[in-house]
Amino acid sequence: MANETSEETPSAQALLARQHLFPNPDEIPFMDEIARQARADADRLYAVPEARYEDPSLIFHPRP
Amino acid sequence: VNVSQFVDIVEAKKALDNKRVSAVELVQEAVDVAELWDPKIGIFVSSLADEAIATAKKIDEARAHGGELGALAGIPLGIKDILTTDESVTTAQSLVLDRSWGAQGDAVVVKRLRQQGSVFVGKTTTMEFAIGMPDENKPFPIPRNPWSLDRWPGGSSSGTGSGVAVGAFLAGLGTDTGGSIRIPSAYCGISGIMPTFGRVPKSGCAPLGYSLDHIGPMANSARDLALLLGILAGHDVSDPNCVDLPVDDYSAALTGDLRGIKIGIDDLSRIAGAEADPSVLPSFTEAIKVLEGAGAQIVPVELPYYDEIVIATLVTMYGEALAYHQNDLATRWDDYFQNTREVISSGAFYSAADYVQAQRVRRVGQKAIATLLREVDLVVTPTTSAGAPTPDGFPTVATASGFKLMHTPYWNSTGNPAASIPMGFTADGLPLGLQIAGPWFGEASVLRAADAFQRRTEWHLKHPNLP
Repeated sequence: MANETSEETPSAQALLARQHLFPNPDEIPFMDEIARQARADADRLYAVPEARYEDPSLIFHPRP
Repeated sequence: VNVSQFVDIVEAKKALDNKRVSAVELVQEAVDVAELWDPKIGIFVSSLADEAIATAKKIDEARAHGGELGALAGIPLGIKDILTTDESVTTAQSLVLDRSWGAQGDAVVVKRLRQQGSVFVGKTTTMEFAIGMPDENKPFPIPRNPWSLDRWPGGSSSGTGSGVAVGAFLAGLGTDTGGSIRIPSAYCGISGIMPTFGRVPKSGCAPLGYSLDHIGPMANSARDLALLLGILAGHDVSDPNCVDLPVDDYSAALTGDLRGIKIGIDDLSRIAGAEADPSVLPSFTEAIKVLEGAGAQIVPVELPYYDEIVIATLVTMYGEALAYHQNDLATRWDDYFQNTREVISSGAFYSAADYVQAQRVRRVGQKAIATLLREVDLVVTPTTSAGAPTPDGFPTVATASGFKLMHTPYWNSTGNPAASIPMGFTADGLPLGLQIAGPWFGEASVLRAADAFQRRTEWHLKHPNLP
């Protein structure tokens, strides 16, 4: 529910506006729902205990 | 319509070498098949039929004069329209992509195929910039599944998948950031492989997620994938992520038996849940029996950190995609396909810290998979837990819940090679795929297992009939 999220985090519109992105009005409800799910998804990344002391490394090191 | 008189490239090459067929005849047949199917299923953004016939004539002339010919001389191929080519505009199926970017000439992979005598018959459809869903309000073909025209062929390498399935070309190039080679391979009933990250140079490919993108072949058989990957793989300085390691002889690895190979299996039914098609688990079980019959030792495994790694893929993909598209989205919002702009914009919902945390989780996942792949040689899962959906029934891929039935993005975060090969059909006749993943740079083992499976089954020989 987008209005539940809005009390805790910025709205989808606010987050998009920070990137200079302005969806059409009929796209806002969908974006609100995506923003809510995205926040819940991202929060799960911080719940991986083994990542606590892990370096953020890409797979291969570029050559000089 | 007889979609193709040849099973695959390996067989067509023999016929060309023995002069049982000419390059012109082979390419003309592909062009004829494409003309029947393309209006129905949207294979091409642009056809290169005239150029292809002219190229095939030159190859026949060279062959007649005893000239030196490449390994793919006279073989018709399709190229996904996010890869640049000498002879046509590259659109990424978008009004937005700067056409001058696409005018840089052949992508490295296209150049390598051309040097071997390939004949490019068209630039194939995708989703805009390889993400999102078709948009009927934009001037591009709508890709459809040749097994059922009301179904989606999968994406984003849609036209390459459907084109191989119907015989519009014998193989083609796809790209894979979250499943875009393996999903259309599964939904269209063909074979495809996403190589190890860094195995194949990406320069000349419009990016989606820089650290997740892979270019790979899609074809009718694992042995064709081996042939093509041997040509595509190898270092090139133009791609900073491309690795300078020797390329294995993939075709030589296809021994036909799997004795001494230990395969971990995970049916991922815990992820798919009740939405899984009931045909998937029986097909998967039968497929595992085939691998066991080829000599493999089968052990159950559980892919570690499954949900978290899929999330890491999406956070990474949309963060990297938004960086690429931000300026254009800010100024040309309505020029993008609706679903594409919405999905890419979801990168704005993650913070910089989220992106970094995703890279830490990827590292955890890479280590966990490396550990698992010291216990088993390969990991096998269903590619998807359902057949191709209708476009309306396709979930948004903006968040992880959209991937419950598609088991592909896990391997993009870890960078491991993963193939999809046909393993059966749903009750309503839609193809299903078997996903085979291996260790970094273990493409030879992946293809060995895929080929051993195809020597014992006929799923990869099935083609859709023209409706």
